[in-house]
Amino acid sequence: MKRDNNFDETYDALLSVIEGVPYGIMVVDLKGHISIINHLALKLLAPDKKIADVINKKAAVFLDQLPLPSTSLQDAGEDTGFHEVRFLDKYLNISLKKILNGMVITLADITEVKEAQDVMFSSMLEGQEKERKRLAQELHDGIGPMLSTIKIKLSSIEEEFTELHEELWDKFKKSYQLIDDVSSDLRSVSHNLLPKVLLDFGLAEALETLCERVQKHKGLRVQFIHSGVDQRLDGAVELSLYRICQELINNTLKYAKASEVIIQLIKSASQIRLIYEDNGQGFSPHMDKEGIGHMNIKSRTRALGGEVEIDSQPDKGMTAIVIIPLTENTVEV
Amino acid sequence: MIKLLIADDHKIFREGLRGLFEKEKDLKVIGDVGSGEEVLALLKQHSDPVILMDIDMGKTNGITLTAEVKRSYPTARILALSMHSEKNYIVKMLEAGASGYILKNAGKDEMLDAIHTVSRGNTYFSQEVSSQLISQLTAQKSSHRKKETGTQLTGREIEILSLIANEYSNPEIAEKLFISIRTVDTHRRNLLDKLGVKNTAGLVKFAIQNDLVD
Repeated sequence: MKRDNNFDETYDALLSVIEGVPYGIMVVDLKGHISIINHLALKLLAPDKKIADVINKKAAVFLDQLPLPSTSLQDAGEDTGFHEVRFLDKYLNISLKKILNGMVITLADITEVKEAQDVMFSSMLEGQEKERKRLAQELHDGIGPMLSTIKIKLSSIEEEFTELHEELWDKFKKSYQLIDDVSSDLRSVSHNLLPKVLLDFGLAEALETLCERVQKHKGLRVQFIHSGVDQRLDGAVELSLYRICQELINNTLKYAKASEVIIQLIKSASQIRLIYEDNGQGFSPHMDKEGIGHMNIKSRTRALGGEVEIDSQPDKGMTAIVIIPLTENTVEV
Repeated sequence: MIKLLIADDHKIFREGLRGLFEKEKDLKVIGDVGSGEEVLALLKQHSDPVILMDIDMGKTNGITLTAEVKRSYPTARILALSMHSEKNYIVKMLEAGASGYILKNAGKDEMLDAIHTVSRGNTYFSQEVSSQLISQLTAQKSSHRKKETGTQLTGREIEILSLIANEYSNPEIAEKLFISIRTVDTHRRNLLDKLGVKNTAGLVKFAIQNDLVD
């Protein structure tokens, strides 16, 4: 750009571009002061202020309020990509990048997109749960009894076989044993699809059973502590929290190489807290931010109006905290 | 002669069982039915059979049916039959008045053994069921212990409590333990709830009383 009489024109043209784009733009100089800010950025960060109020003020005043990962300002320039944050009831997509003489911060309002995503996700979940319920029922009502019946019928001819060749008897015994194995597998599958204990006895009991099963079959020590959840919660809340736990446990089993897990379900007057900790190899927060499992957990939590944080460092294990606020809808009437 | 009533909502399974028992000389199957009404109707004619009772018969809940049957026909013996081995079901059936509990994948010998035992007025639990009950008893013992002390703190919580009492701030705790400040905050909240104290002073007091301060 030529620096001459046309400079002012060019400058004005640039400013109008900055005002015209559908993103909030904020430029911070090397001293940390706001040198440029457009109206959209102002609206998203400090809706009660005017541009004149914030120009040349310290950017940190506003940026510190954002729940950005603490390293983001230092890493800016090394292409940290986008950060999705929740601020003042909106969802924002924020990026920070070093530029000549400072840093530029872009803010996009993605609240509507997020809400649409949530609706889609909720519908998908609902469909998924209906299907799981149907399958679990089919297994339980159809295949289950048939296997039991086969076993009974074989059982009744078993004694007539004892006079037979030892080899034949052996074969028979093996097939008979296979039925037990299949039965057991079937019960596992059915249980994972939809555990009846959850429907009949509630979340605390179901989680206790789940933890026992994992400990028994997968050799992972799982401790379950609960407080205040003797009274049942709304069915959808219980199911979601159960699924979140299943997801967390599966993640631990698949990736963490952990030896111990502690799950706590604590209900206070205003909220339900689910705290999951494993002592595995953890992961770097900059990698695996959005593995499918984590995305599911976040979406399920949002659908319940809650918040989740998954916190981990390499070799320092993993902590997941899910907090669901209590309303009349969450407690079972 | 032991009178046997089979109650299960899966017809194939019922017929399989019937076939199995019809060969036994000391058993007489007086009926195989799939609902509570049919069970009660049959009981009007035979008051003291051994009933093989499925826990989940669709419309009919085996647990409530068991309680009902025991009320009106106390001499009937009920053997719970189920695919579920979770202790919650076992305990509920026993509380309702069942004399025994076996799983549907039991073999012929086990079933006959169970029926004979229960008809003599004794209780019968299969191996798997027994171990479930034992784990329930030990769990109850530890939760009783929990209620007595009023607290059950995890290793992590004790760590954090100790750091709080030793004057570490939240950010310092986060850095030392390699967790986020939000995580520290949540653990703090849990500590307040679990220990039943209102604020940090309360936490420190507990820590001092329990020798967690350097």
